[in-house]
Amino acid sequence: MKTGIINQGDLMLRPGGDFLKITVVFCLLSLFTNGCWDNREPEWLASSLLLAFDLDEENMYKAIVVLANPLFQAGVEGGAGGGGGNKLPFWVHSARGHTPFEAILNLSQGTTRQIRFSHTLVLLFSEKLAREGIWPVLELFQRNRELRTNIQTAVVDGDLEELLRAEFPLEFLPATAIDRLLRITGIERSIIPDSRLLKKLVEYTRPGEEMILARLKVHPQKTGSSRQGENQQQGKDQQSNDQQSQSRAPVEIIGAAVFRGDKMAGWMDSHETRGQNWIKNTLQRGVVVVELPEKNGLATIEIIKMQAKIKPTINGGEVMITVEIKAEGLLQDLVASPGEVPRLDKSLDQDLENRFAEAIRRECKRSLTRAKELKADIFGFGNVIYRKCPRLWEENLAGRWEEAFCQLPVEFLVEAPIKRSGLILTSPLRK
Amino acid sequence: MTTEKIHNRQLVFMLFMIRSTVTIATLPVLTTGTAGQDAWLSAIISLAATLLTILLIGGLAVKFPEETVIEYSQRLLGKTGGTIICFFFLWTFLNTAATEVRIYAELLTIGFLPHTPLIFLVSSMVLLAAVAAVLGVETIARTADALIFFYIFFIAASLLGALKAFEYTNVQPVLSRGLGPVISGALTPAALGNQNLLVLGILVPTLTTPRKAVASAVLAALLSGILLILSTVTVVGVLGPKIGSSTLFTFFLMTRAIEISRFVERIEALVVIAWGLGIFINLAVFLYCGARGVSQIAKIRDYRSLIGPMAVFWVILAVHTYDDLLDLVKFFNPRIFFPYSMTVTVLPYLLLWAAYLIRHAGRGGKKYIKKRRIKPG
Repeated sequence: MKTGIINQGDLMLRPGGDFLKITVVFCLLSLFTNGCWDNREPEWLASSLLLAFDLDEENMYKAIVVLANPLFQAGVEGGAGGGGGNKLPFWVHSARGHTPFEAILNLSQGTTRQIRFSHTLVLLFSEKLAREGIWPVLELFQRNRELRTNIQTAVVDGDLEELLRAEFPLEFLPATAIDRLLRITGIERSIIPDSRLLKKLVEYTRPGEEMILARLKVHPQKTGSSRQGENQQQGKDQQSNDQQSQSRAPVEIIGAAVFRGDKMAGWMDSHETRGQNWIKNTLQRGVVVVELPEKNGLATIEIIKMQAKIKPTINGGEVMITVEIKAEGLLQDLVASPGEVPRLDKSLDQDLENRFAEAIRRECKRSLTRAKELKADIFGFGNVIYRKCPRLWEENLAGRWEEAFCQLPVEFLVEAPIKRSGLILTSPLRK
Repeated sequence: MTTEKIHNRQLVFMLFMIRSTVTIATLPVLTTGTAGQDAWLSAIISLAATLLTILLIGGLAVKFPEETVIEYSQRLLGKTGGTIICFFFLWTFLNTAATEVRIYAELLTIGFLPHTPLIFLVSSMVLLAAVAAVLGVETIARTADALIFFYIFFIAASLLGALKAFEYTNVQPVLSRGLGPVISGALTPAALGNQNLLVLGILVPTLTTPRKAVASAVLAALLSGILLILSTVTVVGVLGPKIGSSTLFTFFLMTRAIEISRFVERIEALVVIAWGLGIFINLAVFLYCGARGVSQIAKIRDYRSLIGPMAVFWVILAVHTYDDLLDLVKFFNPRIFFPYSMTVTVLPYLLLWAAYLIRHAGRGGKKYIKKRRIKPG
């Protein structure tokens, strides 16, 4: 009985057999059907690099997109060459709609290419939209298959479109400029909160925690806004623009926008934001300037390492929070008139350490005061209690956390040794 | 009598891919119940339940190392009773595979190809599986051998990539609402595991060493269980329990959200490739088992002639059983899925065990008890 199983398989696999023919036909077919019904030709596409949302006077969503120009040639100096070289590197375009997605789709009424959003680097909100609520936009970024949550996000303090048309001396595109600005500032100064969109979404969904987004402050520029659509004078304009903007950065990152739910409650300045970073253990680098003990100069201490722990103490219904901060500093500067620079010894070191710790404590307290003013628990104290004592949280605190947070006693225990003083131990004296 | 043989190692690989693919793609531990941040505990419970099912299904299969479940159920329960029981199994093969290919096609539609007709995605995958099933179980097993490396590598890469965004605070508090929510999350994955394990009934006689089938299945279940626990913890740690449980394709959402470095991001393609490989093995095995089962009931010598019609039927079921995604979600609700799955998997096997124990306790019991001592499991 060897007729069945194996033989039939052999027949089908034999060169020239039906199976092989069918396979060849399918392989050839696949050459013409790539992408199936969703085939998109790159010549028809333009990539969005930055997406910003605003509300207009009639409470319609306004989507502003920065498109990378595929015709721009990066190698051509100043964009003044021939062919596609005299095109601008990017185009700022906007459209309105009842919902964020409609606004995005309406963008195509003015564009000659299909907009692809999967390369978006930055998501910006105007202050007006932030105060009205940003969840519709955040939801879209989770739901839509092109938009992603691994991008940077911030709230703009000032005119959104002016920011997008501004000239960034070191970058071709405002989108990459803002993306880098957010990343670099986060690493170098820690005066902004973590601005990854995913982190914001997680913050939003966590019980007992509020969102905090970076704040981009726009500096108005005289000629900055006249950039659009002036291809012929491009070369000259660009030069004068560059000189203009070299004097002042078009945008600066100062502090943060604090949210309650999805609505913005208020701004925070740099110090208050860094206080939040101290408490949440997200501080990466930064400096603290303290006064010398003799009050005759200043010392700059760079923060090398830091660690913070939030510890709740629960006594019956009473909750108390203790924040333990351990920071390690490096003395970078002793500023005083040459004869008066103090000798660095154990007692001065001890004194500076105390002042360093005091400065940290003051920054944290300032941040806490501001957060209590805004009734927004941006430190996640509520979340710590929820994690430690979920039952107490559910029964007692979850419903009235805003008020409870405003009354919450918080104690800061700071330990801040300064272990090194750079390459010289003490200021060399002129004799 | 079967002439094709597969190695026990290959069975481990096949079962591992079958069990991992859908449970990790949709993470029912997180998305079906109310377990939230305790979903990883649900994964542990569902693993324990799966191990019990292996003893139930595999334990009976090794008693009849030469026969498929179709043959020995007819022997144990009589011709009519056995046939009725077997229809339960055959229906489960068909339904599970149709559901799984539908989930895969939905993922592709939602994530990548919104305009492509669903039936096209379903039928291209079923066609591939049908070709593999025609070529035989040996071919499927060797394909599993070849693909398992890529499968594990792709999933491990995305898990490792997610570590950077992992926050352990998202996994706390542990067991804050008691065991109830944890068990609610464990029901669906456990039931899904039971359905997948039914293939043991058909595959055991094709093994080179059938008496080690239970050990192989336990190994596969442990490996896929560990992978499931790791995936659950990672997804919850990255997305938080609330975002994590609000989607059908949680793992996919997580891989979209992470970036390994400034230039290595958008790694969700890797995961989707891995699921494509897993679903392929999954469907091929189910199609093979279904066709073998039908051919044995209908006394057709060669199962291959059945595969074409079955594949067509399969596509129709996959497309028409569920109108939309909400139907799928409803089907996986533990209140519906768990009792359904218990009825088609555990209940028939309990009957078979009862019949086995009654028959062999009565006559020649000593012989069987002796045999059982020698053969582990």
